[in-house]
Amino acid sequence: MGVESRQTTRIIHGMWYGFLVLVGLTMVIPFLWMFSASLKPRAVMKVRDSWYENWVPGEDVTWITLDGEPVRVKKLGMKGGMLGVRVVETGPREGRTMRLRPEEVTEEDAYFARTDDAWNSPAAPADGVKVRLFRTDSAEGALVTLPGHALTEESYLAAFLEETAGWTRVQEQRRDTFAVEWKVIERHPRFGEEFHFPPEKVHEEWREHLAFGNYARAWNAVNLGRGYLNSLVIALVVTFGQVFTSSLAAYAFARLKFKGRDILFFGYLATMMIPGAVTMIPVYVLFAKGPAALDSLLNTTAFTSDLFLFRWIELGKPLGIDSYMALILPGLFSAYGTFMLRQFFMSIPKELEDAARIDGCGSFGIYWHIVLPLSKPALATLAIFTFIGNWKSFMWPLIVCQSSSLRTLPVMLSYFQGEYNTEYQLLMAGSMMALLPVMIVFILGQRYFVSGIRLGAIKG
Amino acid sequence: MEPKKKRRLREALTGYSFILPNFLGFLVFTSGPVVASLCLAFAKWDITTPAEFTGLDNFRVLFSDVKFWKYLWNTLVLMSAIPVSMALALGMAMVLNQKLKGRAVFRTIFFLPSITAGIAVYILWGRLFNKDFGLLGRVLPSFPARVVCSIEALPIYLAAGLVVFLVCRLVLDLKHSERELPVSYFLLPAAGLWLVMLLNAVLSRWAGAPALMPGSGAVAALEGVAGRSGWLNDPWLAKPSLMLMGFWGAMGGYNMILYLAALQNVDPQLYEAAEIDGASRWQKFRHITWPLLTPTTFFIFVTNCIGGFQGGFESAYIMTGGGPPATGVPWTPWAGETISETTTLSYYIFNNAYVYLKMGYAASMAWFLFLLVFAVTMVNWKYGGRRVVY
Repeated sequence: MGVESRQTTRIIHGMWYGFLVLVGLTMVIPFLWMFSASLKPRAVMKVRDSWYENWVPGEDVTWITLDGEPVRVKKLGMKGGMLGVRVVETGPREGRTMRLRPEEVTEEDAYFARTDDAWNSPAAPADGVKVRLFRTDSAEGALVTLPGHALTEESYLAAFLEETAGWTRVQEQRRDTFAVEWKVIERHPRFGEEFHFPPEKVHEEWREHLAFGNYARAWNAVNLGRGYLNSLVIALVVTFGQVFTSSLAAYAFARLKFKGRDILFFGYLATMMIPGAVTMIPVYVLFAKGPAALDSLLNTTAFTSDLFLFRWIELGKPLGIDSYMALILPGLFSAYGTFMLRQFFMSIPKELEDAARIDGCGSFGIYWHIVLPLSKPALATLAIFTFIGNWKSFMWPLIVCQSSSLRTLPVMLSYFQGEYNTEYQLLMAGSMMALLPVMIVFILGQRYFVSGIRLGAIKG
Repeated sequence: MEPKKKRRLREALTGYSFILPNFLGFLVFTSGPVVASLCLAFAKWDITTPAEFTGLDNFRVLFSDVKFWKYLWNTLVLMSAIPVSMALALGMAMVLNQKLKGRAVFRTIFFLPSITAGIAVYILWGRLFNKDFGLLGRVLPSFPARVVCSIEALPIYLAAGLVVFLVCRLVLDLKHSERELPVSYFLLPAAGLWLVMLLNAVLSRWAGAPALMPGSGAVAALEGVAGRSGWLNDPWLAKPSLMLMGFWGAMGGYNMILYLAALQNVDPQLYEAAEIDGASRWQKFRHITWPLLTPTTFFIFVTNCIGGFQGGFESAYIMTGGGPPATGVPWTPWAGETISETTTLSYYIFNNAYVYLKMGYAASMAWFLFLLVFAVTMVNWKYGGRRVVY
């Protein structure tokens, strides 16, 4: 034991740190990828050669200089040593939504052409009946030949934007009593024009582009706000309820004497072995048939009609498959929680209770004033476990939630997975938003968590 | 005796009223449904038409349903990852148990996968395994197919090793030998069998020699086929992929924290005494740490087994949609049928109950699962309980 040993200890410690950092990285890197993916603009989810382009959100931009300013183009092909490009630059305000009063929007005229069952709007006659399409999808900028009658003149809507002192094309989005919402559809004046350039004059670069708008889009696409609310409310109610009922029952099992106590407790323990699949089906049937049965029993329609809060917030049905109660009630009872708390309560010294009883405290008083305050760590642990478990639960909410206003976050996130393609950016954005509350709860309650698992393990 | 009797009655009433809310939930949501599902298992019901009693029909179908047994097999294969993830958790716990500053930070980071909503993690990994986009999915074709493909047969090896081990122990008992074989020795014959299989596959590929073990010749033929369509789409690699994801999460999860807590309860004086006696690190682990950890190991193993039988639903639903269709392999009897590779019993029961609306059949399967879990837990309790040192 000397200087030499200290140095080797330091080296060994360094090795362990290195190992821990490595493992930590493998844990964290997927989440970092999730975060970077959530910021990627729409068309960019493809694998690239450089790791930088893979991880940092950005997009490929091809551009030329037109009239002294850079304009985005799309490459068409080489012909005679020259590269053909088409202008695909959209305006700076493209896609922006604004609310205008109906009188601020005017109508103008444009040509519309109909190709493959959809109206492409607007089009501009090129030569004769050849038209060029101005549509925001794969047919964008395409040059098509149509029979004369396919071209019609129609009107489109435009609004005068103060900031540009100019007219901008808009499209109606939503209409309510106060105003109408419009989306700006603006184009570069030379949109759709084709040029030939020597290849060196066509620039390609990869630009960083943090699409923070993905979060807003994810929020709106599946009504994430409602999902958040649902998840939060249900998790909180279940947590409080479970902690309350479990602690009551645990106290009774630990301290009070009554007939059949031990047999009942053994029954509780046995239920921990029952697979969820066994109980899930009858509980589903209970909720499916229950309201109708209750209705006919009590001769009302209260149980099968929809509930509304403040007359416009949908609350689903009071008690049925598509109801909050179906998500909350089954979670209010936990054998594991009762078991863990009972073990903990049994370790609280009896002298305290005897003293309280001498002072004239009833059982509930002892429970409330002595046992509960002393068992804060165990209660906190149970609360955290329950909260996290409930937030994550997927199978039961999947079965129960049929209307979109009832869905919890995990179920809602699963809807980003389409049948043919998955909107990864929006999904990752939504997942990051779903992560946040649980992370906060965990970080704040970490102390209790670890000590509580210790309680459960050693005494169990 | 009057006041005492009255007090006892009062205490009993208080006790019952304390239990009431919890017990009501227990009755309505646990014991009631258990009885109800038992009745349902003997009937045939889709929710719309009234139920009809069919007796043992469901169970008869169950035993002849190839899909059911394949999905049970899938569940067992996925569960064979449990010992490995327990070992990983133990290793990680031992690393974190050392006196390093900032361990709490690492502990939090390692726990991240366990607290995040499962769906985000599943989709993340689904993308990692994707053939075109994923970090892992792209490297597949260079992975030796033979080594990976033998993972499917892991439970066979473990079981065969166990059988060999038990036979050896029986022989030793009959000879009244003093030699006590520890349980972990069953891994030796299991590993031996796996090596033989591997060697056999290599030989039959390179030397053109005939296959020693039935079915292993087919493994060689898979080279070039396995992994062509991405990890999760590949019938051979789908389950190992799920197991890999499980290992990633298990390294820092609940198991690790349990082990950590148990390790911190070990008296350091024991280690000091061992050092004085000149014990090496391995000896210290084997004779001090491991025996003292047996209660925790037992607890973790039992709970993981119970959970493992019911698991796999989310990965099947979100990541694989049930999984790639199984290709017939000589040692499986279901060659040629479109049965899926990553469907577990839990997913199959879910589908039967809520998608195909065969509630009676689903209930009978759930009860079969329950009896299985019960039997395994009893075996664990009896067998493991004897080995636990307190």
